[in-house]
Amino acid sequence: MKNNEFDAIVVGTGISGGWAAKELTEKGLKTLVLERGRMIEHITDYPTAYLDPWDMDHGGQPTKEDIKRQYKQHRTGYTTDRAHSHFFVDDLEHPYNEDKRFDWMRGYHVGGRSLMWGRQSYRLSEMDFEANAKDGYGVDWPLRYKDIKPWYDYVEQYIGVSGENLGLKQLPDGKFLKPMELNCVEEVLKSSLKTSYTNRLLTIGRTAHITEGTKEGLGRVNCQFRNRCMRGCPYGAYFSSNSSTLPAADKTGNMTLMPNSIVHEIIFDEQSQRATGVRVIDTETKEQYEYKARIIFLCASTVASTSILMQSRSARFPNGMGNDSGELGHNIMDHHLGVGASGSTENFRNKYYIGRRPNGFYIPRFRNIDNASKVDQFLRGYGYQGGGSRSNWSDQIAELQYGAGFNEAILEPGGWSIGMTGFGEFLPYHENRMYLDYEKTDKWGLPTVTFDAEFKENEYKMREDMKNQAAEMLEVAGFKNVSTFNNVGGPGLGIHEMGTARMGKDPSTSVLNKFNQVHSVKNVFVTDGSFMTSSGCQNPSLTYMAFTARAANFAVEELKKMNL
Amino acid sequence: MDRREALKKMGLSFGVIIASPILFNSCTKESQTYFFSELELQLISDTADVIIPGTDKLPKASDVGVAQYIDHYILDIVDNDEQSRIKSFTKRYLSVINPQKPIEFWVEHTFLSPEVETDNWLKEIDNFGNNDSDTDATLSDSAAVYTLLTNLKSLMIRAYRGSEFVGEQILAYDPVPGRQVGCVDIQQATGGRIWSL
Repeated sequence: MKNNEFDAIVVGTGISGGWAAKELTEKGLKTLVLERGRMIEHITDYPTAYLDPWDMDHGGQPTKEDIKRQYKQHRTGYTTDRAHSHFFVDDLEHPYNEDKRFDWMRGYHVGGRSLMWGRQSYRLSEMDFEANAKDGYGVDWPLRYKDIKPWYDYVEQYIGVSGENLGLKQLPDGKFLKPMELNCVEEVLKSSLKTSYTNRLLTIGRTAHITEGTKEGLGRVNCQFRNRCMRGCPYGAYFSSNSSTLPAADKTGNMTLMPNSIVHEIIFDEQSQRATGVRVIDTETKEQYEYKARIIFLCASTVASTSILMQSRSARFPNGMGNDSGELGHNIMDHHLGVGASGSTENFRNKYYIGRRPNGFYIPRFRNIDNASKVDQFLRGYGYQGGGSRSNWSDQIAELQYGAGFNEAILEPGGWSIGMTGFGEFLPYHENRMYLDYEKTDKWGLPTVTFDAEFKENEYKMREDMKNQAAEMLEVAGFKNVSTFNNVGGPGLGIHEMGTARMGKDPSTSVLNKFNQVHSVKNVFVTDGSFMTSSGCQNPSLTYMAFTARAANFAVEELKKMNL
Repeated sequence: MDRREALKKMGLSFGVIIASPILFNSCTKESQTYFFSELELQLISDTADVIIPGTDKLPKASDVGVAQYIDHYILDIVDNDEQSRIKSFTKRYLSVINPQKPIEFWVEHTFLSPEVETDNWLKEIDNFGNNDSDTDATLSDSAAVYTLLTNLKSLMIRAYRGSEFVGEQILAYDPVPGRQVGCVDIQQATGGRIWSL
């Protein structure tokens, strides 16, 4: 065993780990950043960034053999494309178990899912923080929008988010860069919503892309509209840990970044009732190490951080660190999606677009936001994300069938279509959980994760409305051939898994306090999705960034006051 | 009858279910085949040239390796059941080619026959496999060739459009647009062609 001591340890390098590393090192803390996966250097480790479809076999479509190794990752239908499949785990090497279907999509490498994320960035609103208290599901959030607002401001301005302020109470305004443009058919839907409904509107997606100026990091410049984001962006145009927060942390000279290091346990000192460090396995040599620090930030992602707490068993915490409430691993949430509608139009045949916009439109929540919008069928609400485009199938193909005319026709675009899918809130249910299986271990001898979670009545009823309202809005706007879809999939498919170490006011019903501190182990902070007390219907990464920055600054203050 | 459903039922849905504009690699390897025999590959290639014959300005299917692409694609991507049907129908197609009924005849027969006739083939396909005694031979030549060519055609289009030559030289190719405009005249954007990427 070799011992190394630091001021702080950050576990994980994704959205939240990168932010913790940046904030802690910039405040002068010598920080060890541990990542279970391999090193990914910004730009040089994006091997597919410049490949055209013809540069890859089958245009990048995964082969049968590829899918065998990523059979669970393949459930999204897009993660296993060869353009970015190397950023998602090999399911044979990294197994998990499903009492009920759960789609756990993830990558093990420096940067984590900040490399492959959807980049949609929305704030939670006051009504989201009040929701649990009002309808009684889950426990009350221990803070309100005003507590996190300055931190949303701070992270948005640092990462760069393009979008449009709307003045909505259900979707707070932010500090936005120039919005991207809607296309011809999206403008039609926008106008129609404005004239046909009182509380529905369409806006361009708020996305973590630079659309004007530059941002700090490794040469972060304007989006080039290549839409190859998931491969890693050589322009650093969208926010990732690799291009933004980790370089910032590195610049301070206070960061020690160690890839290939699986943290599996936090060491607890019974005498001081504090965490003293972490136990780590080197993924390649399988050697074990211990590292010590005054504070520990768990940012390993919801399931992994929860798993580490569960494995941190001691006389004081026989059921996992911080688990006095018995809620650790419970209340797992995601967003439910894959439900909506699409349609087409014969108009705008002489119109097209320029640039491959890495973004779509957004229709903010309009259900249950006030008395007038209250519905009886379900609690809470949903937003829609969608887009319009011209198909690559000319209508002439059907008539011409084959020959020279056909040859010409297959090079011309077809008609316009438009579609949207709902992103719905998933209530916190105690019985929806993950737990560890110590019988089935992985190649490092660590227990595997088992999921036991499902959507319930509120989600299913909401989905009916998501489907019907999408179709209605398209029809009202004059689109033709409107058809609906409702593919529920498994929880997890939204890749927003969260809630398994929730925040709360009461240590007997929650794991963390309002500063993301473990109630009973004050020098351990958990700032990834596991802290979420409710899910809202907004894409959550921006919220993880804001809470991480807030928690890190709080931790530094507490250290100064000698409270930790 | 829903053609897509009927063809899907045959397990020959590989070309038609891809919703996004996935583009393909034209991998032109000399005298090496992946899935088809050399003779079968020649047949697919010649058929592709009847369907996508080129013009004075456009390459024909074989100029950009469409058949080679399909050959590799079927081996790597199409599942085993579908593969065996493709193999069986390709053999059937090969066996019905003769001087009186050359490739051109079967392409025309498949794509230009009146709908009453194609509907009958679809019914045949739809019923096929419902009896234990059904074998591929139970299916008429017309229905088998129709199934094969209809499916291969969509793959041919994608292979053609996704080849490097068509993708870079024929379609509107802009690897780094650098800007985004939401709604613009198509002539100004691409001169009327599809965006390559």
